[in-house]
Amino acid sequence: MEANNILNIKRLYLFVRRQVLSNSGSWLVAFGGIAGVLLVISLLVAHFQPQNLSGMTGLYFSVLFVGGYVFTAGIFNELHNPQKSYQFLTLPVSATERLLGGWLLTGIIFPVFGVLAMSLIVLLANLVMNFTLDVTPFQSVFSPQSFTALKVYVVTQSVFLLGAAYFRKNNFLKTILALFIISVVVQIVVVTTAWALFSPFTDGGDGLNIGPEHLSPRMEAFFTNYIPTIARVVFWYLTIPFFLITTWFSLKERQV
Amino acid sequence: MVQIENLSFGYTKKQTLFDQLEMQLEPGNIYGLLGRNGAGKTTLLKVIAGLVFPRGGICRVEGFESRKRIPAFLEDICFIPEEYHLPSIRIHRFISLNAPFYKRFDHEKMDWLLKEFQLLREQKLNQLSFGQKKKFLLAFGLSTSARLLLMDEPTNGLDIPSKSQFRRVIAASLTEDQSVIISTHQVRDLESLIDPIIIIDEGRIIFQQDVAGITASLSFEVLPEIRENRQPIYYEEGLGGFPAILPNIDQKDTRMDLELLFNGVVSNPKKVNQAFKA
Amino acid sequence: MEFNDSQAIYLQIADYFCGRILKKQWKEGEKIPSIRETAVQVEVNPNTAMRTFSFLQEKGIIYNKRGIGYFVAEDGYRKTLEFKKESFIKEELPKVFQTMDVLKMRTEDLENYYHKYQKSKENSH
Repeated sequence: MEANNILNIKRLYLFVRRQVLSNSGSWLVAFGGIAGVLLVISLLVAHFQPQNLSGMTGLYFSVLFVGGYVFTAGIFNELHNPQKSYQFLTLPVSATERLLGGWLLTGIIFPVFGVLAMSLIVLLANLVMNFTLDVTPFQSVFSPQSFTALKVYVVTQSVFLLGAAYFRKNNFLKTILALFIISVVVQIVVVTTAWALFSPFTDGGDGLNIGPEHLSPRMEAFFTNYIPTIARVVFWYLTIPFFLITTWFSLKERQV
Repeated sequence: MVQIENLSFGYTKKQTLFDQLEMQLEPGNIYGLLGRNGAGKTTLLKVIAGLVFPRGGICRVEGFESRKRIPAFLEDICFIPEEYHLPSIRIHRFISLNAPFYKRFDHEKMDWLLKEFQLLREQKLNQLSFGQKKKFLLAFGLSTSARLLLMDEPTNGLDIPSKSQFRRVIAASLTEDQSVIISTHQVRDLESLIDPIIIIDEGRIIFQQDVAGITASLSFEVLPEIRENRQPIYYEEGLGGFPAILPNIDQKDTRMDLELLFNGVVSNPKKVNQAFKA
Repeated sequence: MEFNDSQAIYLQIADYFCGRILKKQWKEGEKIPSIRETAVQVEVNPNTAMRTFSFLQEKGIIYNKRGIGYFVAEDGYRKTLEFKKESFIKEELPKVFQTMDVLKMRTEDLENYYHKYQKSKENSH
């Protein structure tokens, strides 16, 4: 009985279904519109500069990233309006199910549909304009780089999921602003740390004097080996759990 | 059904809306929650629904702590706010998307209420008038079979026939294990429907009695003059005399004047409550 | 149903029931609407309707068959008449007398008016 109130697959399904079908109109228009524009651009490129068609993948992914972030930031849009949020918050669904539902839609289902749409665009561009079934541009959609890009999307979009649950209005812009502020703070911290670390090695000069020649071998090992490893682990394995958990708290503690 | 213990609440750190508020509600009643503007009627409903969290104390519904908002609790409450926004989907779609969350959802009742309110399943929710939207929410809320219905100013925005329809539907569709809390300042609209009466003022429940108890202890009369030997508990000046609340010494069965009672309780809660102890 | 301000609502509903019995719209031994149906019809709290029913039951005007519903008692008409007479004498008459005092009228005057009333009633038939 207790577990039933935390995660129930049927309720999760009902929640995802409710979110999709309540918003399907506007989502389809947005998704279809953007995909349509990309298709037209791709058709033009396929016609006039067929050799560049595989280069389009970069554009597709940029659009997928930005589109996905905007979509993610708006996934809990009912929370942005007090006249709607009462309904969202009193719907018999647990915070875990709200979180997983939102995450599945924006972090998993959305990129899957995005890649499908890309494949379709590439396929159409090749078929219609060149009357061939050239698989080279198709490969670019399913290349290792694309796969890495998708992974990067899944990791980074979790930040916007928190933004969606935490802010009350203009969630996308506020999340961007928050990221900007955080990055500025991080840079300040890094510079200050660097100052603290490196200033003793500067010989009387003012200002920083960063360079391998100023670093002790032990410190060098630290910077070249440990820091990137830690950064990699933090990025790939800790980002998603961290933001999902904070989003969960944000949803659980959300008031009208 | 609802237990509130030692509740304190404020929207900001400095401001305190509720302080040591206590309240117990039983199933099978249509509670009328009255209070001046800003007394916290809406906020109290929101606390019970788990939409805002108390600063201190605890609020439970059927044993579930409101602020935890677990699904079993959410299934048992239905909150109809004074103002709301409905999605741009058709009525039948709203029902098919939202009803499955409620295990005890009563589709027959839903059909009956839609018919009663003259709403069509094909209508788009965002194109309904304010009153129709309210009726739809009411119909849906009653059909969820939630044990506790919280309604904030439900007759606001309803025309006269709809108000009468509202009273009939509420009287017809509540079961004995359900309760309703209706917050209102439209005393006239709901006077015959609400019982017991709860009055909230200055952060606390200052009065809670059922109508039979009220008319057993108090009599509501229009006095031609105010005499020393029969001092009213509270009176006002009217056209044909003085509408007054008196201790019901000779066991009269007068009709409760809710407006008068409310004014009397708010102006001197101690004096009114004293009459119930005697 | 419109309620007046002077009398408790449950008594006003009881009056309405008595009226139906006295006009023979509800005959003795006949089933009457349930508590909930009454509450819905007159738009009151079911608790209020319940008070009406237990009040009339106490007076012996209606009775309850468990699980079936409420019925007008076998001597319901007589009981209703008694009850109404009693409440007329207790509640209505004192008001009439009070007004008569104010207007300086005597009981003999009343007799005249009563005869006139009877005559006009006969004529209208």
